Amino acid sequence: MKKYLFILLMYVAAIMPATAQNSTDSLIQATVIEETGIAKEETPLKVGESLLKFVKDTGLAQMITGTDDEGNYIGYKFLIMLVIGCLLLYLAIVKKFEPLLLLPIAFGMLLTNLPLAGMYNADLFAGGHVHWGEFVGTAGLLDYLYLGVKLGIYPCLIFVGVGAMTDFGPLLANPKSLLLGAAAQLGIFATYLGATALGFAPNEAASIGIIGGADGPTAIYLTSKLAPHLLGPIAVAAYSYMALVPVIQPPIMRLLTSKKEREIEMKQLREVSRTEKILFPIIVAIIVSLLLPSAATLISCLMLGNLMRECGVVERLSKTVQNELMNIVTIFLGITVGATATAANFLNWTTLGILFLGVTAFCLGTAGGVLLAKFMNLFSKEKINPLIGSAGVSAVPMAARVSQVEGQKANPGNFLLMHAMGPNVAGVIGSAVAAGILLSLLG
Amino acid sequence: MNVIWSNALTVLGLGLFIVFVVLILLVFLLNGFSWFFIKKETPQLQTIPATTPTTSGAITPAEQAAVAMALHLFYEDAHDEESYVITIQQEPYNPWNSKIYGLNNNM
Repeated sequence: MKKYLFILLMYVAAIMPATAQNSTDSLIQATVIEETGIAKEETPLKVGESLLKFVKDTGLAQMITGTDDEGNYIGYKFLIMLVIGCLLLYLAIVKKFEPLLLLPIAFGMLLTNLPLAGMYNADLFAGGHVHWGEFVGTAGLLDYLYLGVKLGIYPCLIFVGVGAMTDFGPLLANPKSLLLGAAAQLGIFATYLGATALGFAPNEAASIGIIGGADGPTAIYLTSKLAPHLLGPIAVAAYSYMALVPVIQPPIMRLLTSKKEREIEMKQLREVSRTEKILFPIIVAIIVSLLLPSAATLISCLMLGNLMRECGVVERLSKTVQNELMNIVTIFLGITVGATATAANFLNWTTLGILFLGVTAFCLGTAGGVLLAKFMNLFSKEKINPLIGSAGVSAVPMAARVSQVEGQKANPGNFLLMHAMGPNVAGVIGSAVAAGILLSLLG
Repeated sequence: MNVIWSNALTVLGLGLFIVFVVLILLVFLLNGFSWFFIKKETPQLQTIPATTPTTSGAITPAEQAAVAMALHLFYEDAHDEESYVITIQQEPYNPWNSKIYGLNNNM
């Protein structure tokens, strides 16, 4: 009996301090809850339940069982997007299709389609507006980076770099090239009409048409202003087709020209003075911005970069925008544009329509440039090789290289590269002007 | 969705028209440029011999073409393929390869 009484006393002695401690903890916890409002009451954990909760919270489980708001199974869509992302990575790394942009775009696509990772939340940009109130707390890394696209900052910075890397000398030496650059914009406006016929809204049709400009930053800039929900498919289509210029253009060029026309040799371009090269960006920025204020942002950024290159007194700035700035912005632009290609936005018939219309825009732009060159030959004393007309679709310098290669196939002694660079850089100006017009008419 | 075709055609026509107007304006501007600068530089060009570079330190267009062609051939591997076999034959004795008459012989 004494033995049991001793044990009872010992037990009471043992739990008394614990109970006192518990009451003290509860008091402290209650005070903390009262003061901060963020403390949570701790509940005992059960191993089985915890493990099950952990498994349910993995992206893998979401991919297997994920459903949308209406209860439809959508998990497979994440898987398809991951496969597409990996395919684009393959094209960028192995096939070297515009790897500088396709690689970050593809990786952004992978990141945004990892269920529950929450790096990009399309809801924050729903309705074409930035929902600033919800940013703190819910925004992921890519949401913050995407602000640069949404606010139109990245495409403009890219244009500064493009301007710093572009030599407008061939264009200054042969001003008629500008007409070829203008004709190649036919693809943009004709595709706008085609997209309208297929049932796209005018703002969407304009964003799809701009793919025909073969100018990535311009396409992204215009789409982010007019139809931000289509940014992913349009960017992927634009950059994919730009990489495919050597495949898409030659058949059209050969179809529209005779062998005799392809053999035309053009006389050497005149030498352009430094003063001309310095005055050109200043005057173009002023004139185009005065005529078309909606194109002022893109054109002035392009010309600023070019002025830095040509003036020769800001060598450091010129090198920075050509290399460091351009590379940094390319990473941010690529990864965030890729992030907009969510399963919900990308896997639908609209994307297929955009891909189809995009290639049509490219073909029409190429044809427009070649046909105008042929038309100009009817009146001009000095014949133009129509192959340089195809370079009017921007895609610097890939399209000019295609003209050179096709010209040499017809006549090995033909050197069209510098002649084709004229329409090529004219195409950059032309597509920026076209984007400004569409923004002005439909924005 | 009902398509307002008149709007679509207006955008098409007006868009192409404005692109051409702006770029034709630039053509005139650049033609004015070339007229002005060529006229300004012509007297100078007459006094410069054909072989002299146009700017100090620059190379002539003909030299640029030659360098470009050489680079093209180099990068395209369009030069004669070498066999990488040393073809110098061992010559028979003559006074020119004689150790006896060599500079460093320490006989």
